[in-house]
Amino acid sequence: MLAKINSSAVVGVDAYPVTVEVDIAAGLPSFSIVGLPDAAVKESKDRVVAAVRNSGFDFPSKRVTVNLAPADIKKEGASFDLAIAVGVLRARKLIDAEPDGFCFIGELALDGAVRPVKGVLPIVLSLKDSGIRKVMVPKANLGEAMVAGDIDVYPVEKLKDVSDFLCGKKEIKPFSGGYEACGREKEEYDVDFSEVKGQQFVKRALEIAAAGGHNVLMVGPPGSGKSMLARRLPTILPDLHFEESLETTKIHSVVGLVSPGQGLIKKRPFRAPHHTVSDIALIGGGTYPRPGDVSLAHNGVLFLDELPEFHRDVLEVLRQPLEDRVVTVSRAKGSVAYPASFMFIGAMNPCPCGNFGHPERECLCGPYKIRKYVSRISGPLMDRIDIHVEVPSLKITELARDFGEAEPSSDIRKRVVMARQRQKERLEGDKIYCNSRMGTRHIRKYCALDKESKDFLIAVIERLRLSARAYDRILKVARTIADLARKEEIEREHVAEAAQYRRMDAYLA
Amino acid sequence: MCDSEQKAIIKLLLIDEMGPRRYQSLVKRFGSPAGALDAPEEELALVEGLSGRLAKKIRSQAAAVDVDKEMEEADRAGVRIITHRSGDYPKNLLELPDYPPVLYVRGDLDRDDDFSVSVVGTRTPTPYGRSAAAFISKGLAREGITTVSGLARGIDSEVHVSTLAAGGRTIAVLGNGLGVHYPPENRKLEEKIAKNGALISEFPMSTRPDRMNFPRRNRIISGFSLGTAVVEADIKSGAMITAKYAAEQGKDVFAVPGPVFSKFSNGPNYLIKSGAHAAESAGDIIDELRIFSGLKNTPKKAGEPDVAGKRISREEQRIISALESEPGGLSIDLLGVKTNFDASRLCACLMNLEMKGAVRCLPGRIYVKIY
Repeated sequence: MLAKINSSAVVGVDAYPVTVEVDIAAGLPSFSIVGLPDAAVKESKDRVVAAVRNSGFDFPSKRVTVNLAPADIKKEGASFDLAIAVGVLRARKLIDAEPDGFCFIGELALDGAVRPVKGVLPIVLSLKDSGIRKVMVPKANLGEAMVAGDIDVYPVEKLKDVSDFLCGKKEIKPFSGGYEACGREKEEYDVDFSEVKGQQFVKRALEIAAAGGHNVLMVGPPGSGKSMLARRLPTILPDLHFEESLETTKIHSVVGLVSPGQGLIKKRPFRAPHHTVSDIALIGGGTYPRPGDVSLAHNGVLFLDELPEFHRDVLEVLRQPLEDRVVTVSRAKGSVAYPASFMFIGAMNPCPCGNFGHPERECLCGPYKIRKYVSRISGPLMDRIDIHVEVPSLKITELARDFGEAEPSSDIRKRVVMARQRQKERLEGDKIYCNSRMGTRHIRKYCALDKESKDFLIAVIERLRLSARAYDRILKVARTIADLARKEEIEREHVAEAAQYRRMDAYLA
Repeated sequence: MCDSEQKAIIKLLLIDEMGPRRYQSLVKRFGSPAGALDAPEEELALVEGLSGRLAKKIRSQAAAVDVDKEMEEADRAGVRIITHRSGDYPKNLLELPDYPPVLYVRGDLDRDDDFSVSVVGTRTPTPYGRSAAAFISKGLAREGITTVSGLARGIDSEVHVSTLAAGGRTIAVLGNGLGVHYPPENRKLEEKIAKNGALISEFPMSTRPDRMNFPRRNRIISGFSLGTAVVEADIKSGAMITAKYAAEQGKDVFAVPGPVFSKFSNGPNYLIKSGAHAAESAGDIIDELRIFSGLKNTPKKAGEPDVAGKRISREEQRIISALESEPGGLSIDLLGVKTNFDASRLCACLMNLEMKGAVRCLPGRIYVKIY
């Protein structure tokens, strides 16, 4: 007999329906899977056979053919195991009701247990379009599956439970409820800006960066606290709203990074890949495309420590997502797009030995060596970074000093949210949401300076020997500073402060 | 531009291992540079201080060196070659027992450059040393006194930059040929010096920087000027060698006192203990040297650009007061604590002050007051 079971597969960050057809016919015992399966899908044969047997059923000594339709899309992963096993049981009439209202997702263990799989959230979300209202997922994936809302999610632990339920011998309580049900309460970050001593200047730079969505480059000797500061940037960004949360969770779901029991990701992600990362791991891609770190940092922060140590080609591929906010992976069979809208933070030592500008230690690098070190970061990448900030190393005597009570992240976040709101209202008509996304046209429109400020800015650029392109960057940052100060017009003081975040130009160019 | 005698001098000095002393013995023995070039090997070997090996070398190279090519190369680089027989050879140098017979000059030498002071120091100065070098150089420049230094990184560059900023003249004495640009990051500075002073060297155009050449160059720095001031220097350093030459040449040696805990104060403080004049400002040096003011190069007014207006606001004054008590400068963080300004206001004020030329930002966000 022939059985048809609904399942689903993920491409990119979206899912499409897959029908698992199982046919059992007379003939020499065999088990074949067709429909462009990859190695993990092919191996599901052995898992399914063992799981079916160990759940107390006979596996038929006949010709078993499994087809994964549509047959022209490559299938990967072990998430079809459950659907195939249910199909086999149904084809042997061990399950008497037609389970066509259900979608089945899950990997099988040899003893018949159901293991968690990747990509549950995009799958459940896609069901809404295909008219299926019930889904069976591994119990460990219940949290993310419930996010979708108005779909009945049946958490399952064993293959036996599934067949018993379908035969009406056992009750499984479905969950549904969506966003409300998976806990609205905010997840707290385990770090906070109040833990950082001193470094007021860098904190201010990060506040501006957060308020305007500006990318940042931090330059400072080892041990000055660059990673410590970067790690705290997500805590002052506005809370994720539902759509952002959903997008981010989807991407994390695809690579299996949603922890069991966790529903939506409500904290802004912070990704800090090591400098030995390959370009594919950073950007995404591969034979079976998967999202890279830039997409995992979607709606959050991507932090690259020791920026000059990254392979040059790795840094070059960063340019596209920084510009387009999306990564497109193209294959002959089609292309997938991974969203990658993140704030970029780079950190580097001021010179190869790290002591340049250190108050106590001596730098042993000649200017040529420093030049060479800095030039590993290409101009086009530098161009996409609005704020450069020096992170000075504190003397030990300064560290011991009482800097007074540091401001907690929540207070800074309030100002950031306010500034972002102002930008949103101003830029809504232009379909951008923060100052860092302004193009030349928007800068002319929204960052006009009066004569005095303009003359001042030109004088500053000459004095600090800044490049001509620093002009627009300073304007953008000055716009954000004005927003933080609740001012409609950019004033001279705002320009003066903004120029401080550009003064490394001469050194970096 | 050159008569045959000058050409012979230049040619003789193009020969490897030919220094001022050997040049002088050769000229003494053979009567003229041309005579030395034509002398047979046996006679050369008899000259005091010349070995048989050197005599052979001079003989073989005298035929090989191409003086016309060298002169052409100099011409193309805008470099004049003057010899000790030329009328415009600096008279201070002529008094040295080991005066350089040939000088390569880019830019112009002025009569008033005879009233010059050399200021030298370490290649890795502290913020204090930088400020002190700038302060002294600007003071000298405002009185129309030419500064002399070695174009090295650190204090030397600071001296040239500050002098030029104050509208004065400055002379850089190099330890390499003028056809070689070293240190490379000073290329732009070289151009500026050539316009308001001169770059000079005794080495043929394409001589590469070599550590053996630098002490030799230092005797020209001290010899060119009336006195030598050492700003910050380790006890064993090129600046101290310059000071030693100055003393041997009978010139005044000045030292800018420094904090007793800094290793870069060892040099100047040692000099003071050994009898050098302590110089706290350009005035101290000028008084000691009794240079009469009113030299024609006196700049009318300091050449600082005046875009931001010089008026210092009350807020800005607070920052300046905080910096006044800190010769080594203050990090931006401590400045915030001292003035009790938030980061935003501090940043804006500091940028304004910088534009007014009142403070200066050093690597690592350390701010120092400019005097």
